[in-house]
Amino acid sequence: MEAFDALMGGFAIALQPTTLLWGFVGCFIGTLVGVLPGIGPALTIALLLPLTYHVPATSMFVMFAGIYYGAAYGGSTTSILLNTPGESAAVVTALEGNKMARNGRAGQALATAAIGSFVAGTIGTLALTFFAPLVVDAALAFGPAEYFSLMVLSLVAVSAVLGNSMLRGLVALGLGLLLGMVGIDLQTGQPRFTFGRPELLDGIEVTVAAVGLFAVGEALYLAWQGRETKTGEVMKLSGSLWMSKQDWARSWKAWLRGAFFGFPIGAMPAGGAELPTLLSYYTEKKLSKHPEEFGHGAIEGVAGPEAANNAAAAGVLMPLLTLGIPTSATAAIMLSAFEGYGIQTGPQLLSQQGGLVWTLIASLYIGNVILLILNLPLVSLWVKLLKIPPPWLYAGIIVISTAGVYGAGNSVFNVGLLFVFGLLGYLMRRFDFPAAPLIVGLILAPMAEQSMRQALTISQGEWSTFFTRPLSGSLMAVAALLLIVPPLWKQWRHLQAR
Amino acid sequence: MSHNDHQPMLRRDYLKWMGAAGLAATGVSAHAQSAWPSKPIRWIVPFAPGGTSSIVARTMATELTKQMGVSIIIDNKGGGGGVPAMQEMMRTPADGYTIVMSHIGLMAVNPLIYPDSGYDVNKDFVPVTLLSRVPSLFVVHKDVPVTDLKSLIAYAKARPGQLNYASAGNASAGHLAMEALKLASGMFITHIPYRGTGPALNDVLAGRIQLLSAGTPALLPHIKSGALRCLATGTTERISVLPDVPTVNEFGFKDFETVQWYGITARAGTPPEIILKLQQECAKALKMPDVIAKNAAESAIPGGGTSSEYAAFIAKEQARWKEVVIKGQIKPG
Amino acid sequence: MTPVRLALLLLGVCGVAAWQLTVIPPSLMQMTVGPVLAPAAIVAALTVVALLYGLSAWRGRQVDLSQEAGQEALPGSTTRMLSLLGGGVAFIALVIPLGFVLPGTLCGMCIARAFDAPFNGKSLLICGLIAGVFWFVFARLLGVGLGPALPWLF
Repeated sequence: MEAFDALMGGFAIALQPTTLLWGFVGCFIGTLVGVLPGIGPALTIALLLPLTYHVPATSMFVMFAGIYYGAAYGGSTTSILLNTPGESAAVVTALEGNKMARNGRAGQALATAAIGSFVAGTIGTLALTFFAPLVVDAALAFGPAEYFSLMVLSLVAVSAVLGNSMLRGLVALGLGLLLGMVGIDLQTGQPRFTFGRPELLDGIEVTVAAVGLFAVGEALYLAWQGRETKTGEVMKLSGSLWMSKQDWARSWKAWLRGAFFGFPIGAMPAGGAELPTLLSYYTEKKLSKHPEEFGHGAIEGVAGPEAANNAAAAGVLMPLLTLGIPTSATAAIMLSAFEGYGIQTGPQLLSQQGGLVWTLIASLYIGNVILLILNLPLVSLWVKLLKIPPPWLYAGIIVISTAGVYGAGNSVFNVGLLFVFGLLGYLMRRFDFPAAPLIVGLILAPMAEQSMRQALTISQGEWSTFFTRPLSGSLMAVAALLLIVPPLWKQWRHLQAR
Repeated sequence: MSHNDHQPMLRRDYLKWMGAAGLAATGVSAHAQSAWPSKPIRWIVPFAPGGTSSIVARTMATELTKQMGVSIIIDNKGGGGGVPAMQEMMRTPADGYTIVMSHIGLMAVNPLIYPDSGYDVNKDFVPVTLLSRVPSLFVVHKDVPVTDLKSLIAYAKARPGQLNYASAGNASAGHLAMEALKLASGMFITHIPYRGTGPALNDVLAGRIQLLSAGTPALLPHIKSGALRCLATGTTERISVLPDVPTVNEFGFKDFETVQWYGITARAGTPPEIILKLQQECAKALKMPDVIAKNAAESAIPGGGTSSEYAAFIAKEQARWKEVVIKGQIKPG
Repeated sequence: MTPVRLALLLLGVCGVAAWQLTVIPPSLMQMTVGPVLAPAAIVAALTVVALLYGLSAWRGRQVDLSQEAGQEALPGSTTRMLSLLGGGVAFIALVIPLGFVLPGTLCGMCIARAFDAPFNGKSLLICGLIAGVFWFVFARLLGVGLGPALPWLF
């Protein structure tokens, strides 16, 4: 196979001691910066990328791969340990991951996240190697109508994260959707819900909302309660840090399914990494043999979304390399990076610059492996973080979050928003409103509305376009089925049992 | 006694040192004023880090740092159409140690769509130099049955409102360029904004949308592969990477120029010698091989002209885009 | 703060949102769905759900997790909460004039106070260290725009 030979050629170049060393450095700092709340992967890569220009050319790629995957993985560590998603895609991981940590299973949560990320990253890179043109063609087929249907499907999937009470979950979702409407309307340029503030013209940043709701909100609630300091430790650790046989058995399918969601959606423009994590969580919950564990620390709920997250990161590379189309803020930064490395992306990339590209792909594999090797032992180190006494731990988290949010947006307005969301998070925690639907609504609302209106403009006002276009129609049908079938199924089983 | 003697001695010494320090201070500050730059310069870039403009800024900053011997520190302040960045600039003293990257949106379009931003781009700021002009290309999907700009205009006029064009967002360079073309040619085509060039390009490549205007780097690979057909460029002369593509001017549209441009601007009240020095340093930096290479990659035309040339250019652009914005009913974006 | 008051607050938010809807300037462009439709639908849906929540709360069927056994707030809760929020306010008010490190340290100390660590030298030292190290890592090493560390230092 020609592709395989070329890939081996790429490996030959990439597998050298200095290269590997720089790869380790890249992974380490990528994870470290990715861990910091308030600094999402896009900013992490923007900040660390210039470092790669200073290292020898062959090591650049591996260092970059390390930073890239490291940033994607780093966000989940704080998600699991401290209920503080480092990035919006890690929000779903926090649901089960933090519960697992509170049950003393932090090590297992981190391990399944690390291994799942590795598996998904490898699958993603494999797909990139062999199936890139196919997937890109499929992604091109997704127009605004299809996106809207995908959003509708995702809204149905949100039902999985609504928590104990559907009513309260819907309130959270509604609030999130409303907050998602803040900003300039893309189609007409009118400002909506901005109260005349220029900082709100671009809408509410998801990172600020997520970190505010989860990190600051949690801290506020615990401070208000005043019980944290009495127990002395943030959470206890019981048993070993490694995954049991049962954990493995439950995780591996979730990894594969998560990768399957993450990769194509990451490849779509405006797909993002949050959607696949949501869809993965929903799927795992529905397919799990232990659905009652969800919400209390089900390992599939960490394995799936984490794999989805990393697969989406790999998926983003496809349209980037083959079409030169960046599908996310992170990708846009990488595009300039690739130009800096001398890679001219586009349809002729493989034919004209094969050598460079295969080196990049080989570096991605290697980066993935290094990340796994680096992070598994680090699990015990991260877990020791939890032993820090609460006052300093929370002071540290919030000061770092504040620094991250202030630095990323360079405005105190965002810091103010952070604490406002913190107050909201406190209220939601106290009155048992789930936070995840709010974040999901915040992300989905603008995307869904925009796609809907774009689709309508293209179809000249025909609402039927969402159902007559084959791909869009099928997605809508799936959404409808998912909505209608489970309750009907339950009814049927109920009648059967009589 | 020796102990007592110390006190008056110390006091005398103290006064001596204070005097010396005072002299030194005045000496130092006088020195500072005449030898700009003597401390790091802050360059506010009104874009989020990582975009093309940031790359331009970073390359220039590296060159200027080497040339002038002080660090040029890039301060990314993206969002809000650039308004918060300019507002931040207003808070800095006019001493030449803070500069801002100005571009077409900030200087020509914002004054029309953000009337109460708290500053006046012409009165509160003084242009230093133009850095580069990036051409906008007008492309169609390969299946659209038109061969050149003339046939496109005829095709569009035959079916008003049925052709769509994508853009990277409201008031983006591509949107403005296409509206300018609409205004000049009288076509009636529908605007479909996307969030960024990426998604816009995706839909054009898939054939769902027929037209697009964007910068060279994003479109060139697809033009070369045949997926898109470039009908015209918005520059005044043909560009080197696409020598067969005519300019819009060649079709009889006089004075048509749609380019995305970047420059450096300082606070009004900055001493003229500092502005002149900065402009000369930039002109030198623009001739450096690294910078030339980056500009060539974008088919960008480097600037480096004087402050008054930039001022005249800005005034021309403001007049041109005023008409486009008003007739095209472009709102903040 | 009880569930009923929370519901009223929520309805207040819906009211403000509805008012903001009327402030959106009408678009001159022709389109099937204007800028008001989607937000209006969301505000309507949220109002409905908020009303349902309010009714349910009125009937006493909604939870306040802090009322459960073993979960009540210990005395001094308001002070602790205000302390934490105060840290945020302090940072916001002071970061532009005073650079990053001092407001950051103060913010950290207020948060630590919220977790019952008193305002003393140890707190000052630890929070100062956190703020200082992170300023160094973010602003110096990574180039994130955090402003000067201390007012007279760049």
